[in-house]
Formats: sequence, C-alpha cells, structure tokens
Amino acid sequence: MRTYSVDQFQMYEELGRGAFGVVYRAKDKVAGIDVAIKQVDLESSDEIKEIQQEIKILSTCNTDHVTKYYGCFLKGSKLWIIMEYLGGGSCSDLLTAGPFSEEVIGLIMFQLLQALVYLHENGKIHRDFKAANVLISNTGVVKIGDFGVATQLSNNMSKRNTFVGTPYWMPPEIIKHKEYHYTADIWSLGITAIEMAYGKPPLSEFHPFDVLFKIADEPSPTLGSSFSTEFNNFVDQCLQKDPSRRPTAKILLNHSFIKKGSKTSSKQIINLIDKKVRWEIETGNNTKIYYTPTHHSEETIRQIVVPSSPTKPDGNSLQTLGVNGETHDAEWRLRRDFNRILNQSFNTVAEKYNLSTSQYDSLVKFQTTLMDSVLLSSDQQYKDIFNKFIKLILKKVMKSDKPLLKERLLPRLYLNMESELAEDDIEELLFSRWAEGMLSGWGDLDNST
Amino acid sequence: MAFLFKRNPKTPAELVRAMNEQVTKLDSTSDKKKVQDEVTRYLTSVKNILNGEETLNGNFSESQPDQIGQLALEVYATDSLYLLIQNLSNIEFDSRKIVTLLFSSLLRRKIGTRSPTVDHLLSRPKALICLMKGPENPETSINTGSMLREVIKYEQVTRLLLNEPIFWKYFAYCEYGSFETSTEAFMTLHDLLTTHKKVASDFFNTHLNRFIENINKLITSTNYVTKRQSIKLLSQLILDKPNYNLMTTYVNSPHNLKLIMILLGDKSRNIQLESFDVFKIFIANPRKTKAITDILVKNRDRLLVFLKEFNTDKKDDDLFIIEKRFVIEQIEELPKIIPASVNNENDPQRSSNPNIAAQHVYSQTKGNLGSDSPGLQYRSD
Repeated sequence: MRTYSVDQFQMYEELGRGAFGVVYRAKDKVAGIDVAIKQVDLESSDEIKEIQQEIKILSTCNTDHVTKYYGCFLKGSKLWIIMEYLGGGSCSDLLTAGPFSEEVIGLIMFQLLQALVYLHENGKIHRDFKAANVLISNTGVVKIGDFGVATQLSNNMSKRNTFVGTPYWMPPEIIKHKEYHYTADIWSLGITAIEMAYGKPPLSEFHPFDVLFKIADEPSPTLGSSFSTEFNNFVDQCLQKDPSRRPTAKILLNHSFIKKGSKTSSKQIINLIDKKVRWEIETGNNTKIYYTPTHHSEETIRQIVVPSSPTKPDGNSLQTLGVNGETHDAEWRLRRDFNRILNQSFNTVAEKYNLSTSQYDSLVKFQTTLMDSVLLSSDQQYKDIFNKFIKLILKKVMKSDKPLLKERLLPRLYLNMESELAEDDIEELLFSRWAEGMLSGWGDLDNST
Repeated sequence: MAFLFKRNPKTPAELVRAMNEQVTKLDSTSDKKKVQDEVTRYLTSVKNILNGEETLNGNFSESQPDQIGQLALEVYATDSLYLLIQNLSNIEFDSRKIVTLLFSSLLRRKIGTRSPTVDHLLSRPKALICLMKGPENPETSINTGSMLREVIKYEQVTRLLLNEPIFWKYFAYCEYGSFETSTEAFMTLHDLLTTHKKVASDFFNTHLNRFIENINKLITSTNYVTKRQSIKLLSQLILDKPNYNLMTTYVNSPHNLKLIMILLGDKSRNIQLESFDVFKIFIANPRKTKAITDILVKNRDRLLVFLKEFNTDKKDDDLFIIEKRFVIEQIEELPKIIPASVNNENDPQRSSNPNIAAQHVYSQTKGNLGSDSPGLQYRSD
C-alpha cells in the first residue's frame, strides 16, 4: 500500500466546495494521473468518527460506477482525501446547459443502477442521491461520486433530519422518520431521473420546508406525457410511496427503459460535456480558484483567487473534444485562453452597456461562431480557412486609407501604427497589441469578479 | 463423479471443508487467481446460507437455522475462522467482506445464554491474536479491525486480550501507517479500554504506570488526530468511576500536569477543549500534592489570563461555563506570588518563598474528590 504525502501532488483548480471541505483537481506526480483531492479540516468538526466512517465506506467500494478512492493522509489538522478525477463534472453541472434526452437518461440510469446493486449488496445505502452526486468521466462513464457536493462526506441521518441542504430528493419514509431501507435510494433515483429530464427536480419552485410536507402528503410526482410510456413507467416504479413496493436495483436493471438505455452510445454522454463547454462559452464567467503550485515547499501553499489563467488550463471539459497527447495540451490551452478572452470581452461589454435581449443574443451568436470557427470545429480545413479569412479582413482594414473604418474596427492603439513594417510582422503585432489593449481594459473587471 | 462432487458441496460441512482446502492453498499456489476465485465461490455459498438466497423477484428466501448450525459446527471443528483471518489479504477484495459477515453472524449465534463462537475463540485464541495483529496488514486492517471490535463486545474476550503482550503494541499502531490503519487501531484501543468498565479497572490496577507512560506518549504525538483522540480517551477514562485509581495517580503527578498544561495551550481549539477536561480534574482535586500546587501557583496569573479568554464563544454550553467558572475561582484562591521588585525589600523571606502560603491555604481545603466537588460536574459519556 502506498503512503501518500503532500509533495506527491501538484494542485490545480478548485472543483467544488461545501460545508466540510474543498475539492481540488491535482496531478498525482507518482502515478502520473489527475486526481481529485478533497481537503477536510478536522479541526472544524466536533467528531472525527463521521469522517472515518465515510472513508471506510469509500475504501471498501471497488466497482466501476462508484468514484474510486485512492487513499488519504493528514497534513496538520487537514485530511487530504485522494479520489478519482472525473473530467466531465457532475450531472447537475451538465444540466445547466439544458435537460438530457431520454436515451441519455436511460444510459445514465443503467450505469447508476449497476452502482446501486453493488452498494446495496455490500450493505450500503447512499442516502444522498441526486444529479449533483452523479459524475461523468472524460470517456463518458457514469459514476456515483461522493464529493460532488462536499457536505456529502459527513452526511448522516442526524444531519439530514436537521434539514440542512435541499430535501427535494428525499423519500417520504425518511421525511416521516420511519424506518428506511435500500429502497430509499430507489426513490431518489426516480427523482434524479425527473431532474435530468427537466433540468430540476420536482417541486423545485417551492421552499424546501414546504417541499418536505408536499413529498410526505401529496401523491408521488410523475414524469409527463411528453416522454415515452417506458420512461414514465420506470419513474412510477421508483416513486412508489410505500417503500416496500419499490423494486430493487437488481430488478430495475431489467426494466425495458433501462434495457433500451443500455444500448445508447456513450458518445451521447460526451456530447453533453461538449454542450456544456459551448454553453459556458456563451454565458461567460469561468473564474476558477487555484492553489498556488507546490514548487518550493509545502509551506508555501496558499489559496488564492484568480481568474482562469492561461498557464493552468482547466481540465473540466475541453479535453473531451477528441484531441490527444501533446497537441491535446496545446490545443486545450488555446481553447482555454481564447474562451477566456471571449468571455471577458463579453463581460466588459455587457457591463458597460445595458444590453437588450436581442443585442445579447446577437453577441452570443457571434461569439459562438468565432469560437466554433477558430477552435472547435472538427473540420480542420475550415478552421484554417477561417483563420486566414479573419486575418485578411483585419489586415485589409488596417492597411486601408479609410480612417473611419479603421476607427470603427480597430483598437485605438493601431491607428498610428507604422505602416512600413513588413506584412507578417504587422500581423503579429496586431494580434499581440490587440490582446494587450483588451487586457488593459479589463483591469478593473478582474478585481471586481 | 468425485470431481463434480468436490466442486459442488452438498452440505454446509462439505462446503466449509472444501473452502478450507482452497484457503490453505492461497499462499503457496502458482495460480493465485484461480484459487481466489474458488474461495470467492465458496464464500458466496456461505453468504447464501447466512443471509438466505436472493430469488428472482428480489426477495430473499429464509435462511435455514439448521444449515447455519451445521456450518458453525464445522467452522469450529476445522479452525476455519483462523484460516480465513490468517489468509485474509490473499482473499479477493469483495470476498473479505463475506469473511467479516461470517465472523459476526457466528458471533451473534446463541445457544441458551452461551455464545458458542466466543467459547470457541477463547479456547483457541490464535484467531483473536491474529486479528490483533491486523494493523500490520494495512490492506485488510479495516476488515480485521471491525471483526475485532465485534468480538471485544464480549467481556471474557476483552479480559483475555488486555493481558496479551500484543495489546501494548496498540499504542504504536495508533501512530503507524496510513490514516485508515492508525485510526482503525485507535478505535480498537478505545473499545478495549472503555467497553467493559470492570475489566478495564482491573487492568489499570495492575498496569497503571505502564499505561500512563504509554498514553502520555500518544497525547504528545505530533499527529493531530492521535493527539486529539488520545487526550479525549484519557479524559474519558479518568472520569470513569471505576478507574478511581487511575484518576488519583494521574492527577498527582506534576509531570502529567505539565503535559496537560502544554496541551491546554495547543493551537488547536479542539485539543485545548479536550485537555481542559483533564485539567479541571487537577484543579478539582481537593488534596493536591505540594508539587502540583507549586506549579499552579507559579502559573496562577498566566492561567487566569488564559482562562478568561478561553473559548468565550461557547456561550450555549452551560456545563462548560460552570466548569470554567469553577476552575477560575479555584485558581483565584491560590496564593499570589508578589514579584520581588514590587515587594518590600525588608521582607525577602516572603517574596522568595511564596509556597509557604500556598501550603497553608491548601491544607485547609480538604474534602473528597468526586462528584460532590462543588461546582464541578462530570460528563457521564
């Protein structure tokens, strides 16, 4: 068994945080892989036992559809828990870009049920099932994660009974403080299926407190006629109020909706990740929190907040777009950088001018076209053509003797530029100066976000 | 035919024998995977006997008590538990949990008031000793630890284990290896000393100094978790009524007081709070030795400053507030050292020898140490 220590890891950006800790992406320098590290400050909890219990559960799981636990170690009063890194993020992240299709939900449910069969056979009840705890790997594999919501680690019944968190996924028997069993997870699975179909769980329009009474007293939620009979039936089976009537995970694996879902290509899940990336590009705001690297000694580790920086690419999602190896890294960095420039420009403009809906939409459309054409398109030739095209336009405008046109399109910086420069040099300068000009414009913005 | 018979044992006894045969091969076989698979297959059959089999509609068929009885008898007769525990790290990951299941299911089996499995383990303690060595095998320390704590619930077992030399290794195990292994070992140590009060108290009476020496090592550990958990264990043990002997011995040692005062000033708030629970006993002791009083008098002012600021935000913990007030009052009543520079130079005797006064005060406040101490209540858990 390997002994883990701080110097074996290179810390990257923050992936999530909750009441009990922060999760970072990190590089395991010994194994040469990316990992997720959760840091829990034991000093901030009264009982160490809860965390021990959760680690015990994690470390006794060994199955494809549960996030792998690698080990943990203490650094002062902080426990570093090392787990598998899943680049696709959580399903609730992916849902921000829109609901999932029925086929994809079927495939996700198929994989989650396999995890539940394993957990339940091993006497474990997850008790906190929801899209936020369903994680996706870069290759589209679905796993139950224990760090999607950082409170998860210490989530036990007493916590839940104090109604910390959101109760939308709670089965009626837990709300009523009745005895519950493995089938509690089946209810939450049904709610999660609806969440994936609509982007949010049922009753999400109500205050959590009201929801508790509604779940307990009102008839079970249903899916709706716009979905297939099979899907509707699956959800109805999961959401039977009497827990003893709910089927086990093993039985649900044979449900026709799941059988069908199991045949869906995992490419469709990867598409969800792509969709999310595009959505992020459209809406902006990619501020990430980074750990300063552990170059010198472990004592220098400080937590700072910076906007996503070009030297530390965010692996969240862009890496899934089908590029590999060395070029992968370079390409990935390029996307990150350009994405950042686009978003920040967009934010600057949006902040300065009170955009109308149509103005907003037009800008988003243009930005999407730019991103697609410069970097995302799978048609390599088109990307080259587009790059040439845009460069040519800029060059022509710059070299033209139409000052009004120049003024419209070029940053002030270029208006007085020496025209004797060789063409290629001009091109180079144009791009670098342009970038600089933009950067100096956002100084204030960076601090305020 | 014989071959088929061997592969599919018909009775629980045959199953146990077939399983034992494969388990003994685990360590020496050239095809480990194959033997592991065989062991897993047999253990799965064992699980089905214990839990009943899952039917197609997802329900479990009733388990058969007579089948379990046969299984148990064969397990005892062939020392199967020992075999399984000894080879645990060679058994496949998920199947180790079945070994734990078998162990705890058999433990719970009762015939009248007797627990045949406990009798079996006590008559051949090598399985228990093997479990005690669990922390040396980090891969399986979680499995062995949980089996061990199941069996510690039986008083005779705890009595036996506390008197085995291997018990003392637990103080080292608590600081040894990974977080999982060391905390697991600590949980076992904790249960061994706290589950059966009478057994523990007998243990302390015979091994008092050696125990104090060892627990003091743990509370001064550089490992945050070890330090925090062991100081909590210490305060719990001291406040257990049957451990009166441990309490009086502990709080009469100036060396121990120094250790606890250092911990009281630890940078961790939790460690401060846990050590306060031990510190208050030193203060509440109405028959403090001169050495203890000397230390307290010397630090009187510093302690008062410290305690006034000590966890002032714990406003909702009434017990803590009462205890803190009591401790402060007790310290305020200690004689004050008057610094030589401020003192009248004509009276050097008094300034250089403040302990005469201290002794005087303390000889007057005799009483019984225990729950009738004014203002101080002991937490029962």
